[in-house]
Amino acid sequence: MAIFRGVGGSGDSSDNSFLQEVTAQANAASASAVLAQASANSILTLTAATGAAGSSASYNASTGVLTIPRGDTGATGATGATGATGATGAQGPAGSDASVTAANVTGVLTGGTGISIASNGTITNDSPDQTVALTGTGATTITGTYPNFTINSVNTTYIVGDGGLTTNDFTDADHTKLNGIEANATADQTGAEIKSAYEAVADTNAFTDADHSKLDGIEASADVTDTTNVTSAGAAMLASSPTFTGTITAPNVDISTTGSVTTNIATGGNNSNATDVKVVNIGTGYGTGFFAGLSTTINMGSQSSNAQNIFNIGNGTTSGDGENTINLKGNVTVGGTVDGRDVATDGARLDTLERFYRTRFRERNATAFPFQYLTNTIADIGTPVYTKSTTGSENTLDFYLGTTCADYYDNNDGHIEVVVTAPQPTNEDTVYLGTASNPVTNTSTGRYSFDVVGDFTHHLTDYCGMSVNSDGSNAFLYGQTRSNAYYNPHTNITTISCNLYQSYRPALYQTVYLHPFDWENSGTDIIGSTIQIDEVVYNSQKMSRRDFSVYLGYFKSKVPIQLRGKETSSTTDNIAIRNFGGVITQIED
Amino acid sequence: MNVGYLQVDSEGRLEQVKHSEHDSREEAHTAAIALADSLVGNSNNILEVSRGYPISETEYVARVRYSIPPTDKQRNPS
Repeated sequence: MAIFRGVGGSGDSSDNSFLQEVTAQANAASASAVLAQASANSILTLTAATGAAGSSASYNASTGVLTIPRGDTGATGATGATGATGATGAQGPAGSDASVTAANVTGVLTGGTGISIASNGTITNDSPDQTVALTGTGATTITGTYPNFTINSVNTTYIVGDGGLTTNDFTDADHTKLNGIEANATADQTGAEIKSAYEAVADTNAFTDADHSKLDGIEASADVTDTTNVTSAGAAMLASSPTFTGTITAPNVDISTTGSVTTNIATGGNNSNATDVKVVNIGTGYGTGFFAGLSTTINMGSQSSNAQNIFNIGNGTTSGDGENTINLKGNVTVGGTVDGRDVATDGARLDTLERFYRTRFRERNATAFPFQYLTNTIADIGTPVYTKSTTGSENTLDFYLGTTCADYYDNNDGHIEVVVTAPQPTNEDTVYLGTASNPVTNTSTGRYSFDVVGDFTHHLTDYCGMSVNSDGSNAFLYGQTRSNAYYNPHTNITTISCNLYQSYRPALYQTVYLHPFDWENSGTDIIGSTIQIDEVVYNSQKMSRRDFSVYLGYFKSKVPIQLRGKETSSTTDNIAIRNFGGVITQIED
Repeated sequence: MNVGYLQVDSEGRLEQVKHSEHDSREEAHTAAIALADSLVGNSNNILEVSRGYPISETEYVARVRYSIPPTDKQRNPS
C-alpha cells in the first residue's frame, strides 16, 4: 500500500485523515490502473517510472512508460506539545517515491483527435479505419482498401516534360524534327538579335521606321501607272501626251535620234495676247570668269554632204511692224554666199577701200554781231573741232571764214592760224622715209630738195617734223616756207623740198624720219598752216567770205583743231569775224 | 631750233625777232619759257615768245607760241 503524505500534514501520526483520503484515492486509482493495465496490455505494456521531482507527468506511448513525478520529501513533523512527561513523538517516516498505479487516472489524461480515454482508463481509437480516397487518372487506376491499395498504370512510356515525366508520345517524327534543329538554336532571341541577323543576310536591307512611314504614306492601291495619280503628283506619263505647267529640268534630253521627227518648242499659236513673248534659252548660263562649262555648242542639221539643212527665222507671214533680228557677239564663218554674195571676197575688196569720215562744224553768234573782233594779241576763234580717232587716216580741214573789214585803207591785215594740239608722240607712228638721194641745193629759191623712194606725200604737212634720227633729234622743218613735195608714180620717187637754211637737212644717203606732230609733247599747240588777210577798203566796209583748205596729215589720234587770229597792224578792231564753219574730212585706209 | 619773240616795231607793225638758237626742241622749250618769264612787265612792245625752225640767219618759222607770262599748259604741255 502506497502512502502519500501531502503538504499540510500535521505530521502527527494520529492525524491520518488525509492519508486515508489518499489511500482511498490510491486504491481507486490502483483499481483503475489495473483495468487500464488490462486494457493497455492489449496494445502496450504500461510501465511506471519515476520522474524528476516537480516535473509534469508524461507518457511515452511508444515505450508505454508513464512517468509520474515523485513528491518532495515530507517536512519534519512538529514537536509535540508539552505534555505530561509524554514521550517525544516518533519521527514520521520519510516520504517515499510516489507510486502510481495506472488505474482510474483518466482525469489527468487527454486523448488526441480520434483517441478517447474512458473513465476507467481505457484508451480508445474512436476513428479507426478512416477512408483514404485515392483516384487514378489517365492510364493509372487504383484499387484496394486501406491499408492495401493496388495502383495500376497501363501507360508505361514516359518522357521528360514540364515539371517531370509526361506520357506525351515522343515519336520518330518528333525526333526527326529535333534533329532538324541546328546546333545552338534558340527560341529566345530578342527582336534586335533577330533584326541584326536578318539584316546581315546578303540582299537584305534594314527596314527602318522611316521606311515604314514612307510606306504608310503611300495611298492604298497606289498605282504609278495611273495617269490621274501621276498628273496630280505633278509628273507626267510619256504615253499620255503630258502638258507641263511648271519648269522641266532634265540635264540630258534625247528627244529622238532617227526617223522623221517634229519637235515643237514654244510654238503656240495666236491667243490674242499681244504681250506674250516666247523665249527659248539654250546654254545661256554664265558666271564670273570663263570656264569651259559655260561654252555652248548648238549643232543643227546633218553633216552629210547630201544634207539640205534649212534654218528659218520668222519664215512666215510676218508683216506690219514685225521684224527679225540676229544679234551676235563674235565671228560668223560662211561657207557659201550671203544674198548671192561671197562676203569673204567682198570683204577683202572692201578692206582695200578707203573710208570717209566727215565732221562738220559751224559757229556764229546768233544774238550779237560780229562774232569776234581780231586784236594784236593772238586769240582763239570759236571753239576747237576734233578729228575722229581712226586706225590711220588722211585728215583735211576745209573751212570758210566770214569777215568784215572796216574802212581803214591798208590796215586790214589779219593773221589766221590753224593750230593742232599734239597727241602723245608715241601714239603716232614715226614714218621711215628711207635714205635721201639726189640732194639739190637751190640758193636762188632758198630751197633744198632730196628724193626718197615711195609715195610719202600724204605724210608731208605744215605740222610734221622731219629728222635724220628716229627719235626726232636734229629735226628740220618741212612746211610753210618754201616747202613742197611731189610724187612721181613712174619712178616711185617722192621729191621733198624744204627750206635751204636749216642745219640738219638730210645729206645724201642719210636716213630720213617723219613724225606727224614733230615729236612734240602731248598738249603742245603746234602752229601749222597760217592764212593772211589783207583787205583794201575805202569809204566803206567790206564783207567777204573766204574758203580755205588745210591738209593736216596722216595720223590716227583724235586731235583738237583750233582757229586763232590776230591783227598784225597796230590799229585794231578793223577785222571782224562774222562766222566760220567747215568740215573735217578723214580718209581712213 | 630758234627762240624769239614778236614785237611791235616803231611803225606799228609786228616784227619777229630771233633771240637764241638751240640744238634740241627741249632746250628751246626751256629757253622760251625763261624768256617769256623774263619779259613779264615789258613795255608791251613784245607780245609773245615763240620757238621754231630757222629759215635764214635771222628768221625762223614759229612752231610753238608762249604767252607772257606762259600759261600752265605752255609750261607743261603734257
